[in-house]
Amino acid sequence: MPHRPPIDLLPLKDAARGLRAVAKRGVAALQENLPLADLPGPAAQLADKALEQARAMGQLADRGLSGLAHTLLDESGGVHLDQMPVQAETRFAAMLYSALQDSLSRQGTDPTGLSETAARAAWRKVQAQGAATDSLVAAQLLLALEEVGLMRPLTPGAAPDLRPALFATLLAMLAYPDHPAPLLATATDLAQALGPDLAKADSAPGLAALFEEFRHHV
Amino acid sequence: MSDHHLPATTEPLRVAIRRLRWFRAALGKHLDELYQESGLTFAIDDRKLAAIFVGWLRDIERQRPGDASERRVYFDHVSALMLRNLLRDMPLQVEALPAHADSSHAEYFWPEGYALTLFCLNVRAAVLEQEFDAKTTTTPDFFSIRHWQSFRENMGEDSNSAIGFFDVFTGQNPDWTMPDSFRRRLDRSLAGPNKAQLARA
Repeated sequence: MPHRPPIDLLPLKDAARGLRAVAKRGVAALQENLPLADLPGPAAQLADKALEQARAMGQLADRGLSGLAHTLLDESGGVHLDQMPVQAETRFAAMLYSALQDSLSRQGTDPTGLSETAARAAWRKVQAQGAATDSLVAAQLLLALEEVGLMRPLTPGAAPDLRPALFATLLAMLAYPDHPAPLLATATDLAQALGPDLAKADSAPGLAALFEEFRHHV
Repeated sequence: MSDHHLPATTEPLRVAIRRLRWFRAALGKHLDELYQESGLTFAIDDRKLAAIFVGWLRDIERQRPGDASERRVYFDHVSALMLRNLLRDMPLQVEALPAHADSSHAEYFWPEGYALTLFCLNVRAAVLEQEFDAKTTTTPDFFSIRHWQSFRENMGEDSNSAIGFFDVFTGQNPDWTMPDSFRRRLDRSLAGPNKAQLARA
């Protein structure tokens, strides 16, 4: 049986999500700007149908690839920041993506444009550094995630400040590595309360101290 | 152990209360029960509550004693600081008062202050019972509207007065000069038994 090289799914997932977001936004923009109401009946119906197909294509691409990824990768396990199990980087990227979406939405920030590929790159970089404690790993991850350009907005403009959401997500992972999702709401509120401290912390040891101070208080 | 109407936890209460999610759950349960008794409903600002919680954690960590023999007094202080911070930054807003509300009763005279004070009293009682097998009671002052009028008025001028009133309600000798200092509380405790201790003797 011929040997096939493994497929790297993360860039595909990112691309599919981007396609879906573009389709969704494009359809919305077109609906807003096209003078559909002024078109004669048959032409308006044709335009409507085309827009609907564009939207459906984006959704299909996302669902199909996410489903494939779910089938091929076991994403159900937790992520222990001081360990490096097989597929940990992929689990981390998937969990971070999902948790960040939640945390950003709670803060009223549009989470569109998050990249799992960038999250994985940050994980690889930090794993190579070999930090001594999981709080320090979390701090290094936060800085690396900021550096890799985790958010790739679809439209021009300033990227949102991800630090509170990143802190909340990593804090929840530290507090309960096997099942951080239920802690996200609380962790997000803690991160927001720590906004001035987070803004001041410009080094891994400084951020690690904050993780250490609050990991048992989520 | 007595039922202090707090959420279930497998951890010691002194640990659970220092987790924001349990702290929130405990306050939520307390307000639900207060609603059953009084008809009072409150809006909770979760963000503000989180900020208060962070400030309280830092306040109590700064004054944490190294000597285990000081823990009993420390828990009194921790509860009083919790009330001071909650009242100072107030995360609650009472919604409509029930039709039968009578402002000669503390819960209707100052609903937010009453709700938070009762919450801190309950938490203190539960922790002291679990840690020291100690029974606690509130003094008759807790049921005096004059005390509540004075409490509310003083809070407008100095949030530290919450610590003094909390001590009055729990039968301790309040320090009105530097109530937020654990060292002073400890020194005063070592200098002589307080009213509650005398009453129990």
